[in-house]
Amino acid sequence: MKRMGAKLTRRECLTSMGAALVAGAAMAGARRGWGTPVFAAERYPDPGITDTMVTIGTTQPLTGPPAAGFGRPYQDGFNVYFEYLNEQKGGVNGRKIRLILYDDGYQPPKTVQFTRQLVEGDKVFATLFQLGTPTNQAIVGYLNDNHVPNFPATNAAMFGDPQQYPWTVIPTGPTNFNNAKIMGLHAAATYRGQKAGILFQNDSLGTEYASGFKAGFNNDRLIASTQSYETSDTTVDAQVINLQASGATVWFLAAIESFAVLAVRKAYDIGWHPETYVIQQGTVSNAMTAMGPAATDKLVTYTTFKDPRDPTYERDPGILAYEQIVAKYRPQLDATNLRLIEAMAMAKLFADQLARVQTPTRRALIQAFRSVRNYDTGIYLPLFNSSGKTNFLANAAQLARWNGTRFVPFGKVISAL
Amino acid sequence: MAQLAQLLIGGIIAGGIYGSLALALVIINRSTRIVNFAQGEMAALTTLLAWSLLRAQVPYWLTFFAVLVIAFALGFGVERLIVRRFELTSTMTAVVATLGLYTLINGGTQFVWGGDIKTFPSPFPAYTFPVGSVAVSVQYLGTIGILLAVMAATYVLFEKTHLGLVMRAAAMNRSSAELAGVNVGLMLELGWGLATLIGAVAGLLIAPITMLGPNIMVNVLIYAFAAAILGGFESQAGAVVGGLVVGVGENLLRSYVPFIGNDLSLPAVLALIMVVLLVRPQGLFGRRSVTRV
Repeated sequence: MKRMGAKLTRRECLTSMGAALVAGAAMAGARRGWGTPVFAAERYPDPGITDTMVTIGTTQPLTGPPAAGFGRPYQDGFNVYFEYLNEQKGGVNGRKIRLILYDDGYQPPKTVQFTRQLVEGDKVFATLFQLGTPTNQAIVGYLNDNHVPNFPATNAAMFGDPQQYPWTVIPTGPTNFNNAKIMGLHAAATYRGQKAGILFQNDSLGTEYASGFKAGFNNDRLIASTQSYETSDTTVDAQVINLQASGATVWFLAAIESFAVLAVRKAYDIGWHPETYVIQQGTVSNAMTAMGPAATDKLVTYTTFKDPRDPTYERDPGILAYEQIVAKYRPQLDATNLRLIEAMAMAKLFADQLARVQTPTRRALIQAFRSVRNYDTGIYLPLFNSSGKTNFLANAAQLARWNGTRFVPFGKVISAL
Repeated sequence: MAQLAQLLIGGIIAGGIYGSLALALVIINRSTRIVNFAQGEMAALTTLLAWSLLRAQVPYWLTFFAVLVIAFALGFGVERLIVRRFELTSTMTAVVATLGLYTLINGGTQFVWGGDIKTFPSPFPAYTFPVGSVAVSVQYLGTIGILLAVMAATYVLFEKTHLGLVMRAAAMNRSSAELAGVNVGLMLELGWGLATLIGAVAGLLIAPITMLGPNIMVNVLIYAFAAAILGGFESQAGAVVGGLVVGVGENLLRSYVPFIGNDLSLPAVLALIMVVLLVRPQGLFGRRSVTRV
């Protein structure tokens, strides 16, 4: 230990200066990765983007309930599109896109863990199309606080406020609320004066749907009965019986999966035959086909997508373009899988907005997403348009009627705004 | 009036579903003294096996009996190979092992059969006939009928046959039974085999009504436990009656007591069961267990 006040020797001076220089260079280098010159920090104030590469991240349920239906087709869709983009076009403006994907199993604690990893460890530029309402609920605050552009795959209206979540733009929609509102608008216009009954799942999803329908139906006096069920219930018999007893002839069925199927079957069994508006998650095609046309002839749902398996869209140029990419790069994948094509469309949307940025910053990316005009994704029915009022890019849908084997779109595209 | 009748019938159907799984729980308990948390999942597994056989164009009744045999062998094997190891240490460990089995089978079935909803055919014709203003389905009657038949058959087995006596002895006091020359291991295996077989029957009856999805038995298990506890874990009749009380009670409470409604119907039923147990801890049909000192 030196005595206080002793002068530094020349050797000590030079050593410490040298150490400081090396440490400074190391820190600057470490921030951008070895090999990036220190002065590049001004051009790229945000992480995850360099002259040659853009790194983005996502969490998807590769295991868990939505894995087979959503998580794995999404993963395939992103991979095949980015592979095509990087190889055919050298990426976007000379930058290849690298996607890091973690499996969160649709469990919010894991989503949080992996999102932190993406932002703080992998240092991604943005996150793309993470699936789920509860999962995104857990990370949207964190991502916005850290100014990470995020584009979640969810229809929950809670993410829609641009003031609350300025770094979030939702490249899908309409919201559950708006989908239900569209059905409510149609019901009120088509079945004037008739009483309506609602069966909804007693959680935030079902409650949102129920409010949306009421908003569109716009006549609370004519809502004869509102019944709820819990996901821990085994049957919904009592609720359906009570709805019939209320005299309703229009039915809004905000139920998912097996509950919707059980409800429709029970209604048929007790001889109740209302016009039934059912949410997307309640349309279980194979079960409905098995029930037979007599039990399912009054079912209507909304559709925001062109279904690649629907013969109506067999020659649709938008869908064909995606299918050709799949055929060339991953022919073993099922190119008629709606979710696969949806993911490819999201990848394309991201690439197209990235191409529009003047400066390679996160702010510029979000601004590009907030100035989308009449963008055709190729797979969605409505065109995408940014709006100052909502984070959602899609706010319209078309209704479709069950014909015994599938839902057939009818009428015009109805807007909820 | 029609509404009330519909609710009663709906409650009886639901009660039948709960009671059939509760039966299996009671059988396991009577023959091995442990509670099997995996009962529902094993029933789901055998039902999914039946579904696969039916998809492969095997005729219904052949599938039915094949699955019963498979279920018996499954229960037999699980007891011998897995649960026995834990039973030797303590009952509590064995029960926790069944929890592990529950998780394993639940995940395994989802892995193999996927998460989508499957329809399952019923052995009864889809014919409904009106009774007054209410539509009664032959399928539901058949389900209740088979349930009552199984209940009667197991009652006869346990109460009136020598084999039943020996099984009960092995469960009640293993060491004494062994000293009396009973092959305790075989009795436990038979008990599990029988319970899994009954669970399989329950699954085959439930699946046409509720459809096969992931976790169909998870919710039913909660109700089945409630039914079994209410009826007294010792009694097959108790399981069925308990199931009916739970099913009908829940429907009536949620429809006619606005305060309870749909949100609180299950908690209300469980609260009711707690009240019954406070007054009569052995359940409606159970026997008070007395230990002589």
